[in-house]
Amino acid sequence: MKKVLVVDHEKCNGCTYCMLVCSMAHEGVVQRSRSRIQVFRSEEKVFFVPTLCEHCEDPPCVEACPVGAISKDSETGLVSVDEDACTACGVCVDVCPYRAVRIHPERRVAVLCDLCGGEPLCAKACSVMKAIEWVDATPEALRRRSKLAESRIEALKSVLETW
Amino acid sequence: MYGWAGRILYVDLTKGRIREKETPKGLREAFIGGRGINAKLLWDLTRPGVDPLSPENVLIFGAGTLTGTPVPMTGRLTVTTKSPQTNLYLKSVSGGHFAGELKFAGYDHVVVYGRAEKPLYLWIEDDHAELRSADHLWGMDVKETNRTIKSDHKDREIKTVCIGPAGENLVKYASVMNTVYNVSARGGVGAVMGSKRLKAIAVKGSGTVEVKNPERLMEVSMKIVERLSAFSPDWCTTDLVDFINRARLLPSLNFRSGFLEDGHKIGYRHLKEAGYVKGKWGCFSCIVGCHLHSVIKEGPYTRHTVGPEYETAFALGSNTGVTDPEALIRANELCALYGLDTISTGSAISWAMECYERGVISKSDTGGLELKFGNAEAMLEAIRMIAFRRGWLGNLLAEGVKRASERLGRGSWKWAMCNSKGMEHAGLDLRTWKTRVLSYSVNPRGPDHLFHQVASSFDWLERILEVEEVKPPLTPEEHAKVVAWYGDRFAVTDALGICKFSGGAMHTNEKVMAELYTLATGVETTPEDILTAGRRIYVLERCYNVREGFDRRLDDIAWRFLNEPTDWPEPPTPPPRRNRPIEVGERSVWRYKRGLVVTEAEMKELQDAFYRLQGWDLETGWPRRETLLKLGLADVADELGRLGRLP
Repeated sequence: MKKVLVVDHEKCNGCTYCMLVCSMAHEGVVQRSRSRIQVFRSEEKVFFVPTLCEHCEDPPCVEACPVGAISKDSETGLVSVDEDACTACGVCVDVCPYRAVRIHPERRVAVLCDLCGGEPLCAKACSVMKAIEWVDATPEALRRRSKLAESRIEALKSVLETW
Repeated sequence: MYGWAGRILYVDLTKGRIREKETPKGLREAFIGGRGINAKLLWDLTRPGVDPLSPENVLIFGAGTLTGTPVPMTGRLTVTTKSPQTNLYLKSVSGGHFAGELKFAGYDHVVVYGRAEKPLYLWIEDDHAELRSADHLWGMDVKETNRTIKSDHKDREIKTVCIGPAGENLVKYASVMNTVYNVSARGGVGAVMGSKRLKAIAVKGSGTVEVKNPERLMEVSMKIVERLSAFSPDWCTTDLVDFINRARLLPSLNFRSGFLEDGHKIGYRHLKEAGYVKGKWGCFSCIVGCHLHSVIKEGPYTRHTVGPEYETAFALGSNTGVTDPEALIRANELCALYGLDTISTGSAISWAMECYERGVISKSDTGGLELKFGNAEAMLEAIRMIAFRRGWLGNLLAEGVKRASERLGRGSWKWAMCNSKGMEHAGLDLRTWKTRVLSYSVNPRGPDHLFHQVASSFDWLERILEVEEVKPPLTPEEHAKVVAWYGDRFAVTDALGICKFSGGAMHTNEKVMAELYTLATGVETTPEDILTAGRRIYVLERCYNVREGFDRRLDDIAWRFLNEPTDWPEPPTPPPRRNRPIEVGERSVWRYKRGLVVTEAEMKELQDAFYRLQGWDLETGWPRRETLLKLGLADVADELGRLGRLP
């Protein structure tokens, strides 16, 4: 069965280890700005929100990209960036409701989660809290996933709106 | 450079000058990093007899060698200085996210000395470091300080170490808060920071930590992740309260007993059932996340908070006779906001409660507080009085129980629960557990729990003692071996930045530590080298005390353990089992009988065995020259020799 990534921010303990391994796996170094997954933290509010590309049904980034560099694969459902076409204008960064698109600090192109080609390391790393899980795409898992994704947008707002 | 960030930041607050130097090769290879290099820097940078609260004392922050690499659970920060509480060596380690941020900014250590004329904070952003005015931050609590710094710099990802009002007011056991809810608590690191008028260090790092062999290190790290996945998401120190209470080891009512009837109420299970637990809190790179994310549900203190830990639950809970979970969570929050060590604060309050109940102090001394065991409101008010040194009592308790009992007199030293070094005891009733008696008494910073967090489980003891079956009671030599085994490993654990809860997956496994260290730094290292480095750090810390005038008489435990027997109800049921460790009677690590004391002779016998194992002189407790030479500490031996402090 096809698998999906289910992220539950309520379970996240804010350790940011997923960011370290994501960067290591994709870039060969630990540097948080290179990570495809980001954890927004508020220690004062005791609130942590991990976010990464949801590979939306109707991705706002695909629509917004002025040069057509972002596309959604109709077969796999993956959203990806054509790095040759990308101009790093940052429109996708602004329109993503999950704040899941980053501009690569060196290559100056938009980067987003590629699900590690089918075995996401962040889910493997989150083996105790299980805030990030790689599970079978059952109807129930899909329902849970979209519900969690929606609540994550709200959660992001409450982390980022006040100090 | 691999593993290490490679730079040390030296901050002279008197002159307002900041310099940066490379982390020297000699230091790196002999003392690894974190706690190890910190200890050597303290040895090199302070003169014997320096006043801990004077500009001449140094305050050193050190990140671990593995911090910022893909190895999980490696975010530990060591803060090292000379303690204003004990006038001896002090290291205080915390988790949190500061150490990781510091490494990403490109620094292994920050060394602070001198004293600023007006309050300052240090701002580090990668290569840029500057001192800025903290006039507007002075007086703020810890949360407000963090919020203000973050909004001033318009960056939520800033991490800090800072002090609250307690540090500003030089409370002898003020803590350094690692951002908001993690803490280097013990021994008065916060008072030293306050004496320097340094409110905070705020850091933002965007860099990376290079490692020698990234592919292999990543493989080994993911194996460790697999092993750590055995941890339950419920795992936390607070879960120990109920178990330790049933084992009759939970200090209660100022250590008069090892058992409290309602003790389970401040344990994790009850906290969770009663709805106080919302989730977990993880330090940097820690997938386990042992801290509780808790909630205060009602009243003026309604909020999300973190904690309490076991040590807090004992100190501000059972030891003061308070078993109301909400009061405990509030007390924990107050200590976090004011920047106070919860163990020493709790001990000071329970000492005062005993004074009050014995009629040694009265209501006119307490400012009208009904300071009786179990009075939660009085306990909370006493915390405020201590943090602000308010009134006669607040000012007295802010000095710690040793000085407070000396000032008050009237025999109150008998229930002052510190040892001769002057630090308040950590949370176990020592009368029933001999290995702990040894480990607490020889600990260079005082009787606390993290120099050798010795095991109670037989699986471990069999491994440590290298026998097939342990036959209790252990001999003094066996107790000594257990304590030394942990002492060596923990020194390296702290130097590498590994958390002590990683268990056999890392911190007590010298093979894994040697492999991780080699892969990260490229310095070929064997497990034996790791243990030697651990012993070197451990002995250097003792030598610091020797240079300060320490001798064997300071290796002891509180008078009460030696003279007043425990008094608790015999357990109606067989004692608890947990991971197949402890059984009653013959196979018991701790003695499971009421009416016990540890005798002076027993304690001395344990120590003799330990000194012999370590190569220390039996009369003075000082390490011998040969011992120091074997560990490559010739310069230390020479200096002690010049001072006439070699046996």
